[in-house]
Formats: sequence, C-alpha cells, structure tokens
Amino acid sequence: MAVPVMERSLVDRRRSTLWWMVGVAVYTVVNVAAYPAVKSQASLNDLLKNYPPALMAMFGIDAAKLDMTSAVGYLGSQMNLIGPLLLLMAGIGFGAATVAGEEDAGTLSLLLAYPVTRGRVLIEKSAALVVVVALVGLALFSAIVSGRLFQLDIGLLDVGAFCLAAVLLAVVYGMVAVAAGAATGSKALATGVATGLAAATYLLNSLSPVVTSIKPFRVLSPFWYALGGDPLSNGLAWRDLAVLVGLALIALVVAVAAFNRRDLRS
Amino acid sequence: MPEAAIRTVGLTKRFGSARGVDDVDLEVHPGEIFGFLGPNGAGKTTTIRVLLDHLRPNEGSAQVFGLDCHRDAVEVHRRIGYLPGDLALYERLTARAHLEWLAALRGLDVTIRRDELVERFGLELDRPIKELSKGNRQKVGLVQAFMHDPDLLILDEPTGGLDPLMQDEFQRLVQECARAGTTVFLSSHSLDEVQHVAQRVGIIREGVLATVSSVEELQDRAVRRVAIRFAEPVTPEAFAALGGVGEVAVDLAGTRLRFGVTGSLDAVVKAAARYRVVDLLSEPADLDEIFLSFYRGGS
Repeated sequence: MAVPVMERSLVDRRRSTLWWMVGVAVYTVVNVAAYPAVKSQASLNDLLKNYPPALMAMFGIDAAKLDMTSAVGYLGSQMNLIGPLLLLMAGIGFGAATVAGEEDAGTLSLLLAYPVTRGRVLIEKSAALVVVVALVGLALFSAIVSGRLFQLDIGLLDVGAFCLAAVLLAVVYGMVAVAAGAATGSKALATGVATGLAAATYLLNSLSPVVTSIKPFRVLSPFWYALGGDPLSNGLAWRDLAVLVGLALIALVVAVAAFNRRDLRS
Repeated sequence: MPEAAIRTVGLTKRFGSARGVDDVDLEVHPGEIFGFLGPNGAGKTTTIRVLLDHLRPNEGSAQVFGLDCHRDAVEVHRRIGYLPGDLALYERLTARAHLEWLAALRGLDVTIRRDELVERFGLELDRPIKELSKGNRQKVGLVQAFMHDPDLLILDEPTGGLDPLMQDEFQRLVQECARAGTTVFLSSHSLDEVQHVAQRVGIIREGVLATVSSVEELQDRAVRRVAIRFAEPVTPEAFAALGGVGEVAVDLAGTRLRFGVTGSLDAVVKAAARYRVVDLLSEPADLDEIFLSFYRGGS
C-alpha cells in the first residue's frame, strides 16, 4: 500500500529526527559513563536523603527508595525524567509541525486538492509521528544499553519497557499536538497546548506521592500509566500499555473529527 | 442534458469580518473555457476553495460534474487539476521530485505528459524549488495541474509571474485542452487576460456574481481610455458626436484628445484617420467600468 503522505513527512523531517537521535544518545551515554564514579560514592545516598521529598518528587525520584549506587537506582535518577522529556519534546515538535506547520506554510492547500481525504492525511502523518518517536526511542535504548560497558548492569527487557513507556508517552502528547493543530491550524497553539498539558499532567503524577489531596487524580495523568509503575524496575503492565495506546487513538479520532469539520486556513 | 462541469446554487460563505461570497448561482458548461473575473478580494478564491472543499459554505451547494464538493471530495479531486492563487510548494524538493510525489498522490504514472509540459514551459527539473524564480515556481504549479489530463482545470490567477512568452504558451495550452474536451475555469482580475481564450465570463464583485455573459457582449460594454495626439488642432466635437464616445477632454493647443470609448474603436479610428495622427494610445478595459456599465445600462 502506498503511503506518500507518510513518506513525505518522514523525509521532510529526516534531519531533525537524526539530530534528536544523536542528542538523546550523547546525553544518555555521558550519563551512563559517569556511573562507575558514582557507584563508589556511598555517601551520596546520605546526602540525597537530606533533600525535601517534595523537591525530589518533582524530579521523579522517590527519595525513600533511592539508592544511587545501584544500577537501577542510578539510571532511574538520571533518566526517569529526562529520557521521557526528550522524547516528548521530539514528539510534540513533530506533531505540531506535521499538520499545523504545513497549513502555516500553505502546502496543505495543494495536498488537499489531491484525491486524499483529510482523515487519511492525518492517519499517515500520525504513523510518521510514531516512526519518528520510535527512532528517537531506539537511540535512547541503545545508549542506555551501552551502559553495560560502564558496569551499569541492567536487564534488556527492563530498559526496553522503560523506552517503550517513554515512546508511548511521547506519542500520546505528539498526538495531542496533532489534534490541536488539526483543530486550529496553528502550529504555535498546537505546541503550546501539548506542552502545557504535558507539564500539568507531569506535575499531577509526580507530586501525587507527596501531596495527598491530588493523589486520587493521578489516574488522569498519562505519566502515571507510563512511569508510575517504575518500568525500569518492574517492566510495563499490559493495562498501562493499553491505556497509552488508547489515549493516542482517542487523540487521532478527535483530530480527524475536528479537521473534517472546519475550514482550511488560507 | 449533460451534467454541468461546475454548478453552485445559492452559495454563501461568510467570514467573521472579511467578505466572502453571497448567494452565488454559477453554471459552467462541460468543455467550455469560463473566465471568472473580479477585482482582488471579490470572492473568486473563496468560491474556488468551496469547490475544493477547503471551505464549507454557510448556505447553498456546490457540485462538480454532479458530484457534491464536500461529500464526494476525493472523487471531485480525482477529476480536477488545480493551480492555487498563492502556490506553496515543498521548498527543499527538486521540481522533479515534487512532481513525482504529486503524481504518486494520484497513483498515476504521468511521466510522458509531464515531460511534454516541462519542455513546453522550459522548466528546469533538477533544481530545488527554493532556488526557482517566481515564474518557474508558477510553471511547476501549471505542470502539476495539467499533467494528469484532468476533466476540469481550476486555475486561480494562473499567469502571475509568467513572462509574456509563457503567457502566450499558457493560452495555447488552455485552448488545446478545451479542444480535447477539458473544461477550464480561469480566474483573473483582468479581462484582457481571459478575453482571448474564454467563451463566457462571470464577473464577481464584493462577493456577488454580477453577471455572466459572452466575451463579445462584454467587449461591447468595455470602456477603454483613448488618448490621441494629432499633428494639427482638431475639432473635438467631431469625436464627441460619435457613438460610444464619452466626454472629450482637449488640451489648449487642440492637438491632444482624451476620452472613453464603449465597445468598438472602429468609428473613432476612422474619424481620426481624417487627420494626421502622431500617436494613439488605447488602455486595457477597466473591469470596474464594465461592471458599472451593467448597472448604468440596466441589463
């Protein structure tokens, strides 16, 4: 089956995708390479225990369980926040550029005068988003696994689960950007809505362990499903995986419905 | 009766503050070249974008070959070639890659027809779009509109940026297509741009379709500004008395005359021929004047 719209989206963004992959890999390798130095510093744990738990929670770290000298503890402290965040930025950037960005540039006017439905354009562009985020996720996976060269002994399946969770999370917010862009045609607004929603739901999840009043609402945060189960230690539960995939699909349905309803901007 | 190539009934599109189109009833016959004329901002592009399902009308309907422009949009798009007024292309692609991608969107191999068009327009295929001049971009737009031999061409201000030679080539191409049975819907702000190719012309102004008439009828109503310089003084009354001539302005020396002429210049030229003419200038017909003449003439 020919997918010319998906191909175009991927080829147009190949450079930025490559740079995201390089950036994520370099950042991650630098971090895992520092592990041998940290491993020998047991006093680091005592130091970290003195930080306020709320502050640690903001950075996605459970202060009570933290052991910076263990492989999983160290990796989690370095990557639990930054890893998904980098993928999220790549996903939102692509999601906003691929529909609203093309409408801003005017190229969508010509494309939608060809025999393709608006729905198909969105589906192919969403598929391209998944590919891009998965490629950046693959770079993250490879770089973490390279930690084995630096005494960072960690299971491939656990790293895989963590990277899959980060990829799905980034796809969810990338799809929010696609939907906001499809509904409004504004790239700036699409980026803003997706980023704002990501920030709010991130805080909702990360603060829920320390702020009891918001704890019941953490189920509203995609971060809870992706990272709440600590995939680096425990893998990713099928239920959480299904919820994230479901959220991305809901965003796609909303995007198609909103896009079909409105006038194209000139 | 054959299905109309384009039919709009009571088509109305309102934008917040900007003007759209109001109650437009338009019918374009299959196989004809139809000029869609109006000043900039009159509603030409709005009408076209409704035909393409880029805009949804507030009221009324639009059909292409009997297909609903919204419900059957994909089938409509299959049968049309469209050149946007403000053409935006993928800047980093070469013209060749761009045209190949667009052909792939249709799932068609159109290489032969494409190469023929590329040669006619002298388009360089292997340079990136971003390095092309405005005229060359427009050629890419024209090639993509024509290359699949569509049943209906919708061309929005097609000759913008083209040099006069290419404009002639474009007009020849349009006439060839029409002879082969293609319907051509040609939007423009200038009567002179369409009068040599179109059989019928619709004039839209401030969102309202003012008139649809044959080009001949329109030319009879067209008012041209004429300026003549003579070698010796002449009597302006001899010109003012001619049919179709408006108020005659004359300079102090009595050798330069300026006036408006409705319709044919024949009588004016014959009257002028009785004197020694140094210079004669006839300006293109003014669309607004034609439009106003429909009110004044009461047709």
